Amino acid sequence: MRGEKLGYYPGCSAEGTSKEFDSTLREVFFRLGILLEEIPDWNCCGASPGHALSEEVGAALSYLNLLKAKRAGLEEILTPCPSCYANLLKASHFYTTDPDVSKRWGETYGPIEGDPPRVYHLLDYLIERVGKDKVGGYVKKPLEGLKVVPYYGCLNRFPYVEMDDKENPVFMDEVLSWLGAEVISWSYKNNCCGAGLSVPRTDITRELASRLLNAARAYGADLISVVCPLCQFNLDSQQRYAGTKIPVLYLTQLMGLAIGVRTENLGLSMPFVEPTGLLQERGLI
Amino acid sequence: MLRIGPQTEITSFARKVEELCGEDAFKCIQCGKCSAGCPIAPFMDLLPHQVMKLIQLSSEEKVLSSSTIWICASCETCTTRCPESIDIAKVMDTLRKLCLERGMKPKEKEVYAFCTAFLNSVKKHGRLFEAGFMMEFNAATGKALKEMGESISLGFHLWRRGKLGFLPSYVSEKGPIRKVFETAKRFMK
Repeated sequence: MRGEKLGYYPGCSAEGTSKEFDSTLREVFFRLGILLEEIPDWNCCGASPGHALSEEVGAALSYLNLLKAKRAGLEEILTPCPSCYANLLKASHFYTTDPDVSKRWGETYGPIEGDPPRVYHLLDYLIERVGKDKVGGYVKKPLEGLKVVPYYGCLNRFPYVEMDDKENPVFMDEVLSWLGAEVISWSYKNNCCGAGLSVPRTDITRELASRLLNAARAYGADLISVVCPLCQFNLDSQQRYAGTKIPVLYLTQLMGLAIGVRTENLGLSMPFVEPTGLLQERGLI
Repeated sequence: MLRIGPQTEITSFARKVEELCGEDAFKCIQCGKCSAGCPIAPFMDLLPHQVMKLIQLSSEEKVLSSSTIWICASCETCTTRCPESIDIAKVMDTLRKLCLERGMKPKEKEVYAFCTAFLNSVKKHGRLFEAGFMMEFNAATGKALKEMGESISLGFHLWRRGKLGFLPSYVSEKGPIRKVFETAKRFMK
C-alpha cells in the first residue's frame, strides 16, 4: 500500500473543535505508510442542517467535493467524520442512480469522468484496507489493562452507509483489540449523543450524554473511544453535568499512543476531561 | 392496499409526503417500536408513531406545528428498527421542509436558527466557520446571553486549545458554492 495516495477529506470540524482527530489521523496514517492527499480546495458537506432545510444542498455540496477529488486524480477518499461520510455517499448515490440529477449536476458544476471516487470512513478503511496484521505490526506499546468502551453514535445508521452492523457494530471493537486494549462490550454503542442539538437544545444533549456517561462508568470504563467529532464534543463537554470524569478520546489518539507517536503529538490536553493522569497511572505515557 | 372511505380527503397529506420522499405512511401498523427506541422521545410533543398516525389522518397542521419534527436528531434508530421498513427519519426530514414550504413558523425556533446560521456560514465561506456561525446563532436567539457563564467557560476552553479560530477558512472557488445555494431544490423526488 505504500506509495498509493488516498484522498483525504478532513471536514470543517478538523479546523476547529476536532483538531486532534485530524492531526492524529494524519500522523497515524503517515506512520502506517499510507499517503494522504487532501482534496484541493474542499468545501463543507452541508452536515445535518443541509438535509434538514434542503434535500439537495448537502448532496450538491458533497458532489463538488467528489468532483474536486476526481479532478485531482483521487480514486478513493477517506473522511474521519460520519456526517461528511454520509453526505459524500449520498451525493455519489444520487449521481450514479438518478439520471436527472447527474445531468443537472454535470451541466451546472461539470461532470465526473468515470465513476465517482470510492468513499471510506476511517473505520471501514481500517478494517477493509489496512487490517489487523499491519496495524498490529506497528504496535509498540499495547494498551494493556486499559478498559475502553467503543462508542459509535449514529455512524452505522446514517442513510447510504452500509458498514458493519446497524444494531451491534464491532469494527471499532476490533481495532481497539488490535491495540491490545481491554474492550468492554456495552449496550450503548449507538445510543444517540444528541448530535447537533447540543447548541440549540443543550438540555436534550445534556440528558442523553449523561445517560451514556453514567452507563460507561457503570460498565467500569476507563475511557470512551469515538470516531465522530460531535460525539467527542458532546460526551466530553457534558461531564460536569453527568458527574463523571471519563476521558473521551478519538480512536486515532489511541492508535497513536499504541504505535508510539510522541506524547506531545497525541492531543491529550485537548479534551475537557484530560486523560493524562489515567494514562500515566497505567504506565502508557 | 385496501383503503376504506373517502380517499381523496383522508389520504391527501400522506400522499403528499409520499410524493416528496417516497415513504408511505399507510404502511405504519402502529406497533410503537419507533417511539419505544427513540432517544429524544421524552422531549417530544408527538411521539414518532403518533406522527405517523396523524399523517394517515391528514392532520397536517398538528404535525407541521410540532416540536418533534425539529428536535428529531436524525439518529435513524426508528428507521433501522421499523418492521414495515418505513424510513421514519426521512419522513421527519420531509415534514421539517414541508413546514417551511407552507410558510409556517418552526415550533423550535432555536433549532431552525441553528440550521440557518450554519448554512449561512457555509454559503459565505464555503466551509463552516465555527466561531462566526456561533455568533450569528447567538445574535439571532440570545442564547449565549441567557447562559452567559457557561458560554464564556466553553469559549475559553476552546480558545485556549486553539480550537476557536477567529478567522474563517475560505474556499477559493466560490462560484460553484453560490450555485448550490441558488439552485438546490428543497425536495429531490
